[in-house]
Amino acid sequence: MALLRQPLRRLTCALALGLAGCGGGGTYEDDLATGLRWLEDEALRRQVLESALVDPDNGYARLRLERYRPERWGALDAWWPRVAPAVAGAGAPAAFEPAVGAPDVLDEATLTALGEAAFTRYPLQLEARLAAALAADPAACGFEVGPDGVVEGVVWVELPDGPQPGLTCAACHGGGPGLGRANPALDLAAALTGTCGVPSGWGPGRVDVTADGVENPTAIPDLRPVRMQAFLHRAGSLRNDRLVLAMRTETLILTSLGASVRPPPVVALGLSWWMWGLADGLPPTPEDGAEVFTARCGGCHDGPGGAGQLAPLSAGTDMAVLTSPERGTGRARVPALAGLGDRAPLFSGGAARDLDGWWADPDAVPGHPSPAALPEAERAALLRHLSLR
Amino acid sequence: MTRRAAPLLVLGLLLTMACSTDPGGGLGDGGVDAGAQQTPEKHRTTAVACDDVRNVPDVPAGGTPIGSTCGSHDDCTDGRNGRCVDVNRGLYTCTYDACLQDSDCEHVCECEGGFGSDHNICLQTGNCNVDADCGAGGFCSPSYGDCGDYSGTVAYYCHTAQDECVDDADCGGYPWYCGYDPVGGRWRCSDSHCAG
Repeated sequence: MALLRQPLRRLTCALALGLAGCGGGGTYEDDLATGLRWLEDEALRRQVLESALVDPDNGYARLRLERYRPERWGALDAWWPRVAPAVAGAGAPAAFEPAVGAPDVLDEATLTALGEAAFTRYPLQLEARLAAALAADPAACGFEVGPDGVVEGVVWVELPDGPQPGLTCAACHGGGPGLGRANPALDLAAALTGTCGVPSGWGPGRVDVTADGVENPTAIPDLRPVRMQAFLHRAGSLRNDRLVLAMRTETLILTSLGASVRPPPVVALGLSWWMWGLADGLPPTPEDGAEVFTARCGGCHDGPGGAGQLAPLSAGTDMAVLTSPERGTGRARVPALAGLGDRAPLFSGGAARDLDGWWADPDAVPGHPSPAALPEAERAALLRHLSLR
Repeated sequence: MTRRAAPLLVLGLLLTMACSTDPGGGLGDGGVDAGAQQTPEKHRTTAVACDDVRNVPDVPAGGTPIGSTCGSHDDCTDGRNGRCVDVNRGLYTCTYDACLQDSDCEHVCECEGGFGSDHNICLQTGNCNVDADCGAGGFCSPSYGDCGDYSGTVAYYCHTAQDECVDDADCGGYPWYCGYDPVGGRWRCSDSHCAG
């Protein structure tokens, strides 16, 4: 009966306006009890995947439909790595400790705490070539280095053949005050290729994350408003809810590690639970300029935090990203705008440096309606409004 | 089981036990003879020294673009064989030969392994330099890291009896490649690219 209700539910969402609540992945409850059941219930895990996929025929979907099964990826060992902080100018350390540990009791608090720890300590990608950048000047690559020399988001990982540097979520999503915000200065390609100081082909704040044979770096996303997003990925590949976010995170880590091991599902669930709360730190929708915003932007940005449903590709700003054979859906996600005031870079491919950069050169952003077309007073009011979000 | 077969069975078991060694080189713990395995397309039989020739053109006559960190080859004096090179997007930076032979590095000196340029680099990890490091009949091959082909060879590793692939062709073509899994300690098919 639940499956029969789904198509009708989606049709209703497609016809109605501003129904961001329909962006969820399925007919299950998106709560802690279901989340804990997700850890063990293979049928529920499969349901979350299948109901989340917007286009079951793109590469992202096909890979997961084929392998997100107990006998395939589910049979991989759960990896509990041992790590140590990476320090600028230093090599591999001698002592390691568990990146994270499973809580004895799983509740909202312990799950969220696990996620926060995993965000900065659980390696989701190993990259031996980072060692040279760490030993030299990681700040030149855009990594954030604390006063104690610790490189944010990078850890040394204990491995059978010797330690290697590993990236955690915080390497890309740890920019500025508070975690979750994109690091606009990080030039990961330069770090990996030993060319820090000279902008790479991807450029600062952008990473090519798709194995689709296309050079299509995407702007590192701001994760703070993730719970407001009706869809995940620039092309809206997944309908969003906490369990979908957990699944998405789980398979991100798994595939980035070459599908040799998988993250413990509880780690993925914790990451999702913690990320879901990031929006609590964002400013409320400002009243200043709200009328202009609603009139000029509300047609698409009509959901919580200014998020929307899926828009035609013609409104997209980077076709290489949006038409990726791996993640494309034929549409473009309308992103949440909460946090826009200090978000950088902007748009799918990072076409604008930041809000001021877009306003100064709107022609650099194809597809999206241009603020240059607005009367001066409205343009000023809208910029003020968006800068307060 | 017949009386004649029993001694042969015992003999077979004894031979199998005698041949078992650690996985990671030579004979694997499954009794698989690494020497009888498929020979990888890429493997390092000997540690050939790199040359110190840099086949790099001169910078443009009008100078290097704004954003470059060097204006000519003469600016590159912080290392060996410095050259001012366009590594990407038309911006120039100094590149140097970090090594000429393995003894200059902790691991392999990868000839012309630099990104966007022909400079030699010291690889930062790995468990072999040449095939002989992997035991009798073993092979030492170059591997990508988790960002796939974007960052090029990151290390050399021994093939093992637990490998699920030997060459990229075993994995069905791009985006799949045969790479060393440093967590599991064996070669596997992977399509891992940068996380996201």
